[in-house]
Amino acid sequence: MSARRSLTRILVVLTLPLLGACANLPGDRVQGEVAQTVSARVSRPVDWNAGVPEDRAVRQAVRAMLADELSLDEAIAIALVNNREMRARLARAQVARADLIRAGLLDNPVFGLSLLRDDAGTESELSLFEDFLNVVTLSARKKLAATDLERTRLEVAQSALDLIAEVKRAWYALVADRQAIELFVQVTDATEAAAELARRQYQAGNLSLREQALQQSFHAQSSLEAARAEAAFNADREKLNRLLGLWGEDTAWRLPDRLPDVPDRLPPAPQLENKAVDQRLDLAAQRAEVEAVHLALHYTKQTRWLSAFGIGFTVKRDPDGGTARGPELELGLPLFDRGQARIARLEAQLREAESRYAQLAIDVRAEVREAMGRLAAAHDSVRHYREAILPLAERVVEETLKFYNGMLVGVYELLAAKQAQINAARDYIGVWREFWTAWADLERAAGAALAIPAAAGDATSTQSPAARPEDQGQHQHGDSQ
Amino acid sequence: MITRRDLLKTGAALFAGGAVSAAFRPATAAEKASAATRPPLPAPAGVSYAPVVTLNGWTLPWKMEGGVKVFHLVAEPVKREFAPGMIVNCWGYNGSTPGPTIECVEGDRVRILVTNKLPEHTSIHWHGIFLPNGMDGVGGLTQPQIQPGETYVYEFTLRQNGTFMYHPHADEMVQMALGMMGMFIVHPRTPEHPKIDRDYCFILHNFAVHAGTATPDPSVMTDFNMWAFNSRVFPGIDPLVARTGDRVRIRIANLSMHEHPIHIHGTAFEVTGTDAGWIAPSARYKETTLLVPVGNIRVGEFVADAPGDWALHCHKSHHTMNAMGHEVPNMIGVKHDDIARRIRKLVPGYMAMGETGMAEHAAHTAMGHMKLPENTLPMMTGEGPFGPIEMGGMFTVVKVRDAQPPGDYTDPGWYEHPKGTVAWKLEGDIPVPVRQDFKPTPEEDTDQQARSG
Ligand SMILES: [Cu+2]
Repeated sequence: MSARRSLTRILVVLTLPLLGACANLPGDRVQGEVAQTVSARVSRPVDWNAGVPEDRAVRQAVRAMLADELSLDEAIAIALVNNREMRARLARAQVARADLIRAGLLDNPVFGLSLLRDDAGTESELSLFEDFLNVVTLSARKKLAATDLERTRLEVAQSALDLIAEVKRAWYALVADRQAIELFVQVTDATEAAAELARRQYQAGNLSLREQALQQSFHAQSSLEAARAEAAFNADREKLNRLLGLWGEDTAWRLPDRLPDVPDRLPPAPQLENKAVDQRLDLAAQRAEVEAVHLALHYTKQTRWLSAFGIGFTVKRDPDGGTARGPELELGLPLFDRGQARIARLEAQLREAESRYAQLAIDVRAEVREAMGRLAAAHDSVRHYREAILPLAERVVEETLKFYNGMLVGVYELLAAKQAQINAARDYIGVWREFWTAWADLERAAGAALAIPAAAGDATSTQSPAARPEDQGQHQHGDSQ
Repeated sequence: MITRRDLLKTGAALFAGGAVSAAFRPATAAEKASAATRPPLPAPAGVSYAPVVTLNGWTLPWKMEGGVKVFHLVAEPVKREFAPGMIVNCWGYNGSTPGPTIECVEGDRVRILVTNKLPEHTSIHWHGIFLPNGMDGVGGLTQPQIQPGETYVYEFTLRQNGTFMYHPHADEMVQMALGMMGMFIVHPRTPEHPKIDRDYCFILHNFAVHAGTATPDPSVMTDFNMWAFNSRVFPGIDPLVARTGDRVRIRIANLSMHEHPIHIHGTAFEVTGTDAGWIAPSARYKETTLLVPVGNIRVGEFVADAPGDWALHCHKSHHTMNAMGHEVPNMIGVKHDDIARRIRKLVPGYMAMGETGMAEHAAHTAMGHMKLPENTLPMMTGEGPFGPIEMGGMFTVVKVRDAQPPGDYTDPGWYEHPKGTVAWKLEGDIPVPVRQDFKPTPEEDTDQQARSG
């Protein structure tokens, strides 16, 4: 070990507190790591290094995605860069990291790396620290700090996944609203035609005022329902605007016509519960907390003879539900305290953290099962609509048309049958949307994106006649042989 | 355990498999009895009469056993084609509804075996015939009900001649609603004067075969949609054929719930009989429309002296329609082509109907432009030599021909009119007709004014 190297180190350590304040640079490590974690789980690139929404390039990219129809992928991409709350959480993680660096609990990555490039190893560095601080205490605190930063990182990454799930739910809701509006318009067309026909029938002397008023009231009612659907659509649109951080002229985006096709089969999901336990970031964050407390306990036991330095781990739960956690260093006088109380406290904290971890794991499993159940039920419902309810409603219209043709029923009954079919299609959109909502919830519960099995063409069209009953047999009655 | 998924699957399977019910399959060979008019059975040796022809039906053969004419009726479910395109799940006798006509001569001793192959008990009442009380066939009142599988024997001597019927007197509402009935003709032992050349019989009946169904609904009391001569409806009813100069007798029984004014074109009925026998010649009267009351019989006779195709039909215009709705919005005079175009966007295939009347509708269905519910006949239909006839139900044609051979009941085809005897279309200027223009009275009610304004 040369004296010259030691001198260099001393300089570094002394410089650290000064440099810590400037460590929050674009492309910060926390941001990159969170991006990487999220990216791995949603199977899409996530890049926060490009800049903030106020940057020109980011704005251009967002505008380009808003120019044509806003796909779900585009909505997610925009939300990730443009949602200010997401930005705030990232910044908060950077603040946490900066605080740790400032407190000397983390290496400054910039300077630490450049210096190490010139040197042979790290042992000499540690020995240098030994000169200043107790080796055990500092490395323990550093480890603790790293563990805690990891937890923050995981929590921010989880919040990005939550945001994605929320964007998905909102986008599905909005497209479903839009599809429903088209159907409301169709119903209004039908009732308007009926009301107009009734008006002319009345004028021709063929219908009473009473019956005319009845048809007009149907139309008045359906117009109101259409207006309500429009209002719901607008409200849901604003929800998505909020999630995507859009305002002003950026809110004039268009939507695709319909929800994505529902796959014929559900994705194979073996061991999804176990995978979720592996993948869920909030669970990993809780695990990090357990590790942090465990570390704290370990070091406290090791250093109980050194009562001047105490290592603790604090979890403060605010009344408003927020938490503040972190390692702490205590300096005390070893007169009465031999460390027992601290150890007992940490042991209790460990049990608390472990219990919370276990409960969260149980919750995660339950969430996965619940979401899988909802997804399967929605899938069944979608199929039931496709295979039974929609073809039957269509058949009722076809058969009613035949009755109309035979002058057996009137045009109003025909239009009523059509309305019933449209209402069934509207309900179908509801289960169709529920399928994708459950899908988003399952992905959120499982902590990662699921691959969508290949969809079956146009099978989910609201107008789609499934197997036509007529194809199953020709009925001949006229044959008298 | 049945899960929700299973239930959903079952729902889908039910739908997929339940499209065609057995009710709508064509009748099998065993179920089919031809609905064509069968040639009559010749009168037995020793008596002289024109044997009765059952319109779209047949006469039951008998065996002689020890001086007794023995008939055998079997009450059973049958399939009946009401007209091409419509097969009805009926109950009847010996494979048909109406059952075969029993034809006898006054003074005959008859023994009629009645076998019950129905799913419930039955009995037979011999409507109008004077007989021992215990032979009257009123289940529970004059005899035990004939249980399924049982055969009962009715035996009596025919002391009258005339036109009678048979029908069940057990669960009568259902059994008659499903078509159980038949005619019972008793000829006089001595030849009639003037001699009858052709003797037709049929029963008026109504059925409620709701559109798209195949089984008559026995619960219907008045709103029937099938108005039948011998369980056939136009265009399924055979013509009544005569040779010019024939004296024709038509015996019309009514087992429906409505009375029917049966109108004949080109001649007039001489009303000669009821279900109680013959009307004294001095009391007979003529009319072109023979009103047949419910549960009664009218016999009308005429000399077929005018060749041609003469309509014979119930004069209640709704009785010469097939299935139709009675609560259909009235579109007469309501212009709505533009609305129809809008409706067609929602319901492709929709056509505006009724604005100018309903003949257009008949044309559409005749040309097959418009699909109807299965097993359902068009409301009005039929094609004649000059175009659409636009009838249904109780409508047929009396065909009188110079060259129709005696005893030949086959359809001679459409009448060929002598030149200049068919109404023609006026070409050129139409003379100014005399007419009266509508003028409202000054005290026109406000509603009417509102409408015209
Ligand atoms: Cu009638």
